[in-house]
Amino acid sequence: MKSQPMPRSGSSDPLANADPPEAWLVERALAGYRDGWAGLVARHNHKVVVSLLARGLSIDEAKEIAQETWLKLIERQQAGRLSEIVLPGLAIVQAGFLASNARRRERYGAGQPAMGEVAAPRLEDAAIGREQLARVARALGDCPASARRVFEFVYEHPELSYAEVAREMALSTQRVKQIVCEVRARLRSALEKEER
Amino acid sequence: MSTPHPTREEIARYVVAALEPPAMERLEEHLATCPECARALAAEARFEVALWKIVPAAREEGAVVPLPHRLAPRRRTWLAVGSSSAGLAAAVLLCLSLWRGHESVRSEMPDAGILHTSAGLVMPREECRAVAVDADSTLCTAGELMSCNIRSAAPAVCVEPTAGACDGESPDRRME
Repeated sequence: MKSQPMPRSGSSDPLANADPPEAWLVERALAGYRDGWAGLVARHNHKVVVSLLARGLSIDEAKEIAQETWLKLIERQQAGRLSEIVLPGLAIVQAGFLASNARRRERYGAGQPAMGEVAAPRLEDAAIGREQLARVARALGDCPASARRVFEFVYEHPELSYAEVAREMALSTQRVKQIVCEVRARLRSALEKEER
Repeated sequence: MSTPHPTREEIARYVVAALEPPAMERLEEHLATCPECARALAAEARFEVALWKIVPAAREEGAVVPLPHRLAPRRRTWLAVGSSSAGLAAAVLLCLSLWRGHESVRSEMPDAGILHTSAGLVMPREECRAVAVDADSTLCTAGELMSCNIRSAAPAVCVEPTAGACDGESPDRRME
């Protein structure tokens, strides 16, 4: 993997930025540069871990598979089998495949307990029905417009960091996080209330 | 247990990466050793994954405030297949496969274990209610379809059509 930087171009150099843009990181990663991959991992690894936790993996298992996921993607890039990187979706799909594979190996292997034993009823399965969609839409509709706008922007742009969202919305990063947590809690509460 | 149980709010903040790094680490240490909190974390993570799918969908459902033009979501997000004709073709093909099944692949299914797709790829069978393969050989299962980047009408196969997978919705609407 390459480690030297690409040629810089004056003050607009993304390397000088603590939070380089996604497109730039993707370009670097596709070109095989270590800093591109490092930036993408830093930006998206938590979502990959969360997607694995949602499958019922323990936190240690989730982190392990997330790490394996990035290694696989880097291998694919180095083998010339990666022409585009759309994250976090690509990494989440790859991680899901690795998790399933690990579970299958364990299930048909040496009688080890299968991964995913923490699994509980799948709330998301219930939450993506049309009725639940309508509930979420209603609950979102009940939120203040400004908070709703920030929340929706965060979930429609998972490739952006909180800092980038904050810049776009002219808010502080802390305020963006606070809004996400508040609106999310309201949605969860609304879904749970209607399910009872 | 050396550390106190985190609150539900703290677990939610962990899931959305809204905690500061030291707090994240403390919470992870606790979660690694506390089955009760691990279950709460799994539930919170499932809710988060659901939100990744349903918030953009709920916006389209209505009752939402339009974003300013410059902030409007990109046509193709991580959860969407895209609007290109090739992507749409793949989506339609996949959804039809989901609905009707795909006999040529179905006939190749082993009784248990793994599935060999027409692209020569292998998937655990329990994950193979639907499988799509994009141009980058990214594998997509039914549950992950929405987060997959299907760019061409690559082999789309189906095993065990999922009840309600396309109920009442046109394929392009589901994939949008």
